[in-house]
Amino acid sequence: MDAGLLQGFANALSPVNVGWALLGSLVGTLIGVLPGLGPASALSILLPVTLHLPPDAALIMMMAIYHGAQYGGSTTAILINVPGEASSVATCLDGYPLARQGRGASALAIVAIGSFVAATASIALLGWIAPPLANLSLLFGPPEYFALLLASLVALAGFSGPSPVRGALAALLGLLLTTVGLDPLDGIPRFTFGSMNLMTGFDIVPVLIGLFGVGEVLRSMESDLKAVFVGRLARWFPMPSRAELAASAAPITRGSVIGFVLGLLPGMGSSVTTWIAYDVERRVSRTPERFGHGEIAGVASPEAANNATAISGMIPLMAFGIPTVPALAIMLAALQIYGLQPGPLLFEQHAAFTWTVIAAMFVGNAICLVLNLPLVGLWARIASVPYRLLGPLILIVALVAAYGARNSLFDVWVVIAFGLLGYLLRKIGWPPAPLILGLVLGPMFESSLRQSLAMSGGSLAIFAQRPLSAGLLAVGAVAIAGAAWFAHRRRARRAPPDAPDWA
Amino acid sequence: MPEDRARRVDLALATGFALLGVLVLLEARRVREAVADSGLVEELDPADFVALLGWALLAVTAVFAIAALRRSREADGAPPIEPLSRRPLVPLASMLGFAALLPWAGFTLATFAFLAAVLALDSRYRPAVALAAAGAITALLHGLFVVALGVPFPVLGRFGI
Amino acid sequence: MSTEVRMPFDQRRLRRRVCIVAAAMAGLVPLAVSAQSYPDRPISLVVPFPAGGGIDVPGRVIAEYVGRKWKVPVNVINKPGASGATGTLEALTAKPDGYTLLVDSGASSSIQSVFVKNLPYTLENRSWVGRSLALPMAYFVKADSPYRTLKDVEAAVKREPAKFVWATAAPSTVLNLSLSQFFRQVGVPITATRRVVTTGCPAVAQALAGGHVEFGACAINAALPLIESGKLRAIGVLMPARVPQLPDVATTSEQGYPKLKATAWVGVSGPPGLPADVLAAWGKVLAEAAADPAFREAAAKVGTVPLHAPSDAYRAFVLEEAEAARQALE
Repeated sequence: MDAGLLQGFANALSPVNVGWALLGSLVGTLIGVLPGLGPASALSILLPVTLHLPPDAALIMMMAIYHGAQYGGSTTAILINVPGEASSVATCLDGYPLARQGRGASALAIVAIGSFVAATASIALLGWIAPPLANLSLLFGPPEYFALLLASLVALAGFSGPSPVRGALAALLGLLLTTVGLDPLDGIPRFTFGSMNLMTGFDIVPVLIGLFGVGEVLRSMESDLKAVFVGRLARWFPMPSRAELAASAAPITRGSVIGFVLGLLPGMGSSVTTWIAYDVERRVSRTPERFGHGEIAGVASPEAANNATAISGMIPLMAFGIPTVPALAIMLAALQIYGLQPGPLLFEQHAAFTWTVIAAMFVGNAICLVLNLPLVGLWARIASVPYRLLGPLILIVALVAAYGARNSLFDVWVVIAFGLLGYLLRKIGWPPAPLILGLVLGPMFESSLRQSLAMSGGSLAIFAQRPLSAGLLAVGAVAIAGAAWFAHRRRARRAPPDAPDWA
Repeated sequence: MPEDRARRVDLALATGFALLGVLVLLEARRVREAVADSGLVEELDPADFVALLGWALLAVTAVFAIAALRRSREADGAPPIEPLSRRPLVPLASMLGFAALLPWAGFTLATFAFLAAVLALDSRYRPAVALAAAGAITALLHGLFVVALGVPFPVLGRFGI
Repeated sequence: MSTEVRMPFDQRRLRRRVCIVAAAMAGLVPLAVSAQSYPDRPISLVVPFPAGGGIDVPGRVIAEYVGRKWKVPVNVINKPGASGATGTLEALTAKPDGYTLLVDSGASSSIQSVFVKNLPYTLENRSWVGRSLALPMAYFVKADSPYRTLKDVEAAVKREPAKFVWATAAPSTVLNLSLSQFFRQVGVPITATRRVVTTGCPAVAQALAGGHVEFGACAINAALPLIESGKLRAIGVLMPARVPQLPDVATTSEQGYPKLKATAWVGVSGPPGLPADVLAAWGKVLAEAAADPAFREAAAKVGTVPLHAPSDAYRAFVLEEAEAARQALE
């Protein structure tokens, strides 16, 4: 087995393959920087190119593209508060405040390092204990998905802002937005009012870019922000301080574990696991109030989860041919076109190739780190660009990206509308994050609830009868009760004695 | 008083959400008919889910409204409401202009118009500098999105710009 | 929703174009007999479903083969949305010059026309280029299931329909049609059972493998890895003959259900009014593909089998399938 891996590395590290990996990483990063384009888009844009390469070169390049695109999305999330994809939104929350404090370079470096560590650990697990792990991916049925999503939604929505009620309203609004269009299971039109545009529903990309990117720009222009960071940025090749690195070690570990385990579940992509990682990090932290104001753990953990999820998603893909997210469906198609059928026989019949794939994942990942780490100082300079130029630039790129997502003029109007909404929400101090969460989780939330009730013939008892779903609900309830109790104590200490206690 | 304004905003929002809840329930009724029409029978059908959300919205809005009426915002933990200003109007109007121009004037002209408007009107750039910058950035974006990435934008005229 | 723009009317340009066309036509008269004039630029094959899915991959196999034969790029363009209506609409309303065609299937034609209301196009109003591939499907049960044959399943359904849990996909899919036909054959109304709707083939396979449902249907290729891992069992193949991947699994006809025969086919259609030379060229290349070992091998790699039908037979087949779907609806 080790001989196989060494041979795999020998294949993967041939100069030609390394060259493809470098190209893939670069192009992937550049595509990922553009808002609205993430790993799935990058892969489908470059799929015709990669299919002309021999299999191992193609897979190395695809892995490099995937990691590059992911990193590109994080870059804009941190530096200008524009998330490249739903999975980068959690990174915005603490990444952008860090950029505002002039620590954008450190944040970017930690992201690059954390991603590398998470991906490497995940690849190791993939290589050595994939088959038993694959079985875990089948454990979750609709009731388990619903329990997990409900617990996450209530926990995150209810307690991610200063007021649980506002968070709940935002989350409900997000859920409602997902019901516009055809329903996920039967295809019945809802809230379409006869419009073909509305029938395809709201694409999450324009909503994200509008709510976070445009909304933030409008507010910054209003407050006459001079630049994202006003001040002198230190060096051209800054590295995070020892303290920062030490502080990120535990979050990276936690994020990796959460991302890896949850990423095994079909349907659970980075857009969900990054949130859960962020929330867990906030709960275990000794300084939870610093989250949202530039806490490095709030960047390290989601990004680690992101990469771990990307890798662990390959396990059900290679073992059962089940793609957990659309980007992996593209990889599955590529594998099949090369004649590599997923399944238990994959390792046996195509051992040499599989080890090359695993080595390729290491190499693609490492090259991404090597390429991006030195450029961190360069990227971080973006934070110094005068905002009167940067702001309009972000706006026009947002408009263009919104159009480009689905070649739809409707999406341009959507990005403007949600930009206005994002601006107003910031003015009145409402958290925009639960809205995004509702939007991301909505379809799976609805499908799993309806499927669970179909399985049980309409009885809600199914959630309690199945041990795994009951367990998840219990964990969620405990987390919520604990948080509610802490919040209650904090409020009681702050409020005057005669103020009525509520919600 | 800031507290009064905060309370008024919260109550306005509560009214808005309540209205939304009612609209949602109305749509749920229409979907229920569509479901019955198509002959589908499910434990929780598409209409039921929407109705569920509608009722949840009304319930939480009620809690929100009562809380808004009864106590101060600071104790709630929410930050104070900032007054609106007119500054973001120019970028906002420019974006709307872009969206309106795009289908018939084409990508390049709409982009240039947008950038020219925002840079010239909103900042302290001199008009000549602003227009030059707008032109340069437009050329850059054209090169990136139209030429390099080949995004199929609407085009204008014989040159297809 | 259209995102095209009308070019402003330009007289000089129009006159120039007319001259060019006249010259071309004069020059083409000697070439009019040969089919070499089509194609002379890249062709777009629109797939109205996401990349990597059950329609996309066979579409790519066809595109790759035709592109190689004609030495012209044949690009697959994914336009998912609205249960396949978005991409289909775009392809069917494109210019009928043979450079934009549709990768067609039941989910964008026969079955869709029966189960989806208010479509902005009709089943009949299109050019039928040819049917090419099929994805063999089968009925499946979970690995530890007591059911060994379809008759066992029928008995269980009749015995306790209210407790029978099975998985299907959206109404406009072949998967759902094959299951609806089963219950109709067995004589038990679907509403008396526990029907769980999922998002498609991989989800059905996954639900079965995890033991969350007892019965379902799926494309064999998608379920093969799970069968090999011992998580799933096939109990009835929906093809006229047994398939090489599952030699021990009897067909539906063998088990006494000859009327259960839904096919997940993939073909090429186009906007109405395609010129005769385009249809002829495609007819020729698709027929060649069916006989070409290279094509058969590429098809087999992604779990499809050639199922060729030329234009008229293809049209008749699809209309017949629509009728069968209509009958399964009551």
